[in-house]
Amino acid sequence: MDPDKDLVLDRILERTPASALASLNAVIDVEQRLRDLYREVGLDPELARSERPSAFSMVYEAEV
Amino acid sequence: MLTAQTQAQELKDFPDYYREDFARLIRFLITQGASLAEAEDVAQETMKAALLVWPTIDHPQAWTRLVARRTLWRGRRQSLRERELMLRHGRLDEVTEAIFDTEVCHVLQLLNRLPVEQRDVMAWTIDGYTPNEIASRTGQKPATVRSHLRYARRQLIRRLGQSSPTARKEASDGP
Repeated sequence: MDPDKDLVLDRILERTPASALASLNAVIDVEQRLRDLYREVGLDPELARSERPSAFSMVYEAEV
Repeated sequence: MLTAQTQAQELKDFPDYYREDFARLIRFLITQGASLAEAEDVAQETMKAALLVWPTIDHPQAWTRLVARRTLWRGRRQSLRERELMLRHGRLDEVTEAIFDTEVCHVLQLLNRLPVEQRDVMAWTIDGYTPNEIASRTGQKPATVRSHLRYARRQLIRRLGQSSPTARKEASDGP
C-alpha cells in the first residue's frame, strides 16, 4: 500500500466524522427527542432534565 | 410500580448518556448505510430499548450500536429493493445529502459502495473502535475484522483517487 494514500485516507476519516457530527447536531433537537422518549415510555419528562449546570447558569451565578 | 424517586435514581445517568451519544449513534447508522430519517428512527427506537433496561446495561455505547445495527439490518431485509439498489450505487437520499458538506457526502457514498461486512467494520472504526474491540463486540475473529478493514481501506483509497471532488474538479477544469 502507498503510505501517502493511507495518510490521505486517515486524514479524511479523521475530518469527516467530526464534520458529520457537527451537521447532525445542527439539525437534531436532542432535548426534544429525549423528552419525547420519556413521554413515550410513560415517564415524566422532567426526569430527563439536565442536572449539570449549563454554561449560561454558571455565568449568571458568577455575576450575581 | 416504581416510585418517581426510584425511577429518577435508576435512570439518573441516562439523560446525559442520551445527550452525549444520540447524534453519534445516528452517525454510526448513516455510515452503516442508513438514510438520515431511517437512522433517526432506529436510533430513537434503540434508545427506548436501552431506557427500558438501563440499570442492566454495562457498556451503553457498544450495547446501543449492536442493537441499532441489528434493527437496521432487520429492517433492511424487509425494505424495498429500490433502497438496496440505491445503496449499491452509492447514492444518498436528498435529505441526507442536504445536511452534510460535500466531503462527508462523498465519503458516505464511497462507504455505501463497499460490501456490507466491510462497511460495518468501517462504521465501527469511524466510531472509534479498534479491530480487537470490533471483534469482541460483533463476535467475529480479530483476523477477520482486520481483513475486512484492509480490503475496505484498499477500496476506499482506490475510489478516492478516481472520484474525489478535487480530482473531479481538476479533471473538469482541463489543462
